[in-house]
Amino acid sequence: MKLLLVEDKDILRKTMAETLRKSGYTVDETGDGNEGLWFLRENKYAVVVLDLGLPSRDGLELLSELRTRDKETSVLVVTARDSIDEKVQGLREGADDYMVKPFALEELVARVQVLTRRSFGIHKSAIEIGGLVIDTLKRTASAGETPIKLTAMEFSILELLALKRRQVVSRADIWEQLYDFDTDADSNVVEVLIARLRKKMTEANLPKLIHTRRGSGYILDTES
Amino acid sequence: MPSFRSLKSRIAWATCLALFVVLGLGGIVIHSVVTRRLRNQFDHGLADKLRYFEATCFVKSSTGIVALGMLNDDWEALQDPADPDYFQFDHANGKSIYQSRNLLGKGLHSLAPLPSAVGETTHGFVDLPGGRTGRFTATLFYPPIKDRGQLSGEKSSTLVRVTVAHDATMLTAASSELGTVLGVVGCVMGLVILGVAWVATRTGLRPLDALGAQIDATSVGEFEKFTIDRLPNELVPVVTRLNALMERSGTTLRHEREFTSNVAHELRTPLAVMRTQLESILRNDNLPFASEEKVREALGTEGELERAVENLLWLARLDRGLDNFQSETVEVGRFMRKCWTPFLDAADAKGLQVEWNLRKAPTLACSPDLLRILLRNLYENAVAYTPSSGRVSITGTNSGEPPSICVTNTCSGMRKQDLDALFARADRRPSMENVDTGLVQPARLGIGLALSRRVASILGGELTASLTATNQVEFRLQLTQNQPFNN
Repeated sequence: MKLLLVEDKDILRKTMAETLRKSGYTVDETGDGNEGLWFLRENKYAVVVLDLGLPSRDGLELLSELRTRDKETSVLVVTARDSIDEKVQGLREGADDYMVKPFALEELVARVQVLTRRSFGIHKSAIEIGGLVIDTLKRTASAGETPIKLTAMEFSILELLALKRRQVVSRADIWEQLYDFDTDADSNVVEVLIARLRKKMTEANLPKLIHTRRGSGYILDTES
Repeated sequence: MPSFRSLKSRIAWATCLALFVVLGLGGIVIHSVVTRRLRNQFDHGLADKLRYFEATCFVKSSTGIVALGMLNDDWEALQDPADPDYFQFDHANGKSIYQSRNLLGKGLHSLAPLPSAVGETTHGFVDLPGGRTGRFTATLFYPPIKDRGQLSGEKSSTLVRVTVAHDATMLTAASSELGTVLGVVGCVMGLVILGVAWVATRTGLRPLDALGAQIDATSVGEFEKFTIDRLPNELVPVVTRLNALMERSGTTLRHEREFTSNVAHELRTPLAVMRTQLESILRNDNLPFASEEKVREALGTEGELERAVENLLWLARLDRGLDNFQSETVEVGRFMRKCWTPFLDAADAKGLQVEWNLRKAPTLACSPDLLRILLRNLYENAVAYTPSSGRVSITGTNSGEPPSICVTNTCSGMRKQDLDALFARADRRPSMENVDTGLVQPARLGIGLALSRRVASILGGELTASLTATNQVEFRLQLTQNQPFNN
């Protein structure tokens, strides 16, 4: 799942990005408001983690511009400003959640996970489909009680398909959610990862759940 | 004078009073003048008759008898039963000489005032036969002497008083009717003028009402300008000045908010860096145990700093009134338990016994944000300063007015004279030694309780500390200005 992190304090941004990456997210990061806006125009993100006190362009302004053309991307505001008026203003501008600095990294990850799920209309942390259980909190997958050992990338694809279950997800979308802006990976990697996932699911005695839609992409469903 | 609070009532009252005085006095004066004129006219007629009697009266020289030389028709006309005149002739000593037939021999009595000198004419009211009221005119004169049918041209020595009276029922009725007409006209005029004045007042004060409504609708912390359009000239300078003050206050408040916001940013961002860095280090599975311990200690210190910064920022904002707190219905008992949740682990780690007495906790209309700040500091204080295995008692009650919240904890070494210092701002609280265990509670920056006391005053209450008989410290919040919804 791909996130955009906009935070001007370098050291803080790097720690936050590192933590989120370790939690399985793909993170584009910037410390500049204008650059943040450019990222938002060029890419699609599941969640934007946004600091309000930014150089060159205020975070609220950026949020406001985002909301004029995109009402779906979840925004988590992370700021040192905690007065009631400022919180209310942030939420009115279209923030989905508000977190005051300093915060625990664990809380940051938990809130991002909740927003990610919510952006796909899913409220429980565990998603079950055809005997396959995907726990988005623990980042684990299992066939009933039997755990399925997955790499971070494999889990990310499975999570994305599960969050968009019964919807066709294009290869480009998967690729975009897996890799950050600076990565120059081969797009064939998606097909390789899907093939590996199918194999592991078959080994776990699960029915065929990942189906290919020629020319469109992949779908996670119990029916082909 | 009744104390009317609104301008409209005051103006209406003043108008009523002015109308009552002006119309009342005006009516009385008109009535008095017209009545006097009518009476004068009436008396004038009587005086003419009196002069006629005087001119026809004479004394016979041969007999000394007082007689009247009047035509018979005149005589009868004067005593016409349809519109009779009553008259009588008396000697100056009151002895009757002659009286008209219609006086039925009883004469005119209680005449006052009577003339006291020759030629003087007096007027007054008199009771006539049949119980009617009449007016009389009287005068004193010396009739001429008549000798052998001829007036001699000499006055007699007999002083005669002639009195003429006439029924004055018409006069009193006219006066009474005039009074009634004036009263009715006065009342109608009063009502009309009052109505017009009321409408004019309402219309005239409408801009003031609109301005009042605008001011009333402006909540604390809002600095919207008031509209000047259609305001009367008298109010324009007031509103212009008010708008200037609002603008200045708004600018000041905005600057203060920005300043506090920037301070918060400058203080919290480095804290966030510290915390995330330390947590990031702790996430390393290969971290040596000794290093992990040091990092945890550093994280603990960062936490203390975090709370101190938070309390300082709250205190700054509350002192300057930078936040607008909305009141909500708060079930205090449930809320007090919920606010304890973050302290559960620390209380368990110290083996604290926590007693809850919340059955009589009230439901209040107050800001949950403020109540949370207050409780958090009281709880934090209780957990920090209660010795291990000590007791913390948390009570919310409405049994005795006003509603109160109490947090009591065992605390060794606290003296009565030190209690007030607990609420001093940035007072460096001394290290406290537990006499039982010998453990020393580290010194802390005492800002939390100062903040709690400030919050208590905003909530309309007072936060006090006292020592109980069992040497426990009791923090009591009494919400004197906050009425509970129920028990």
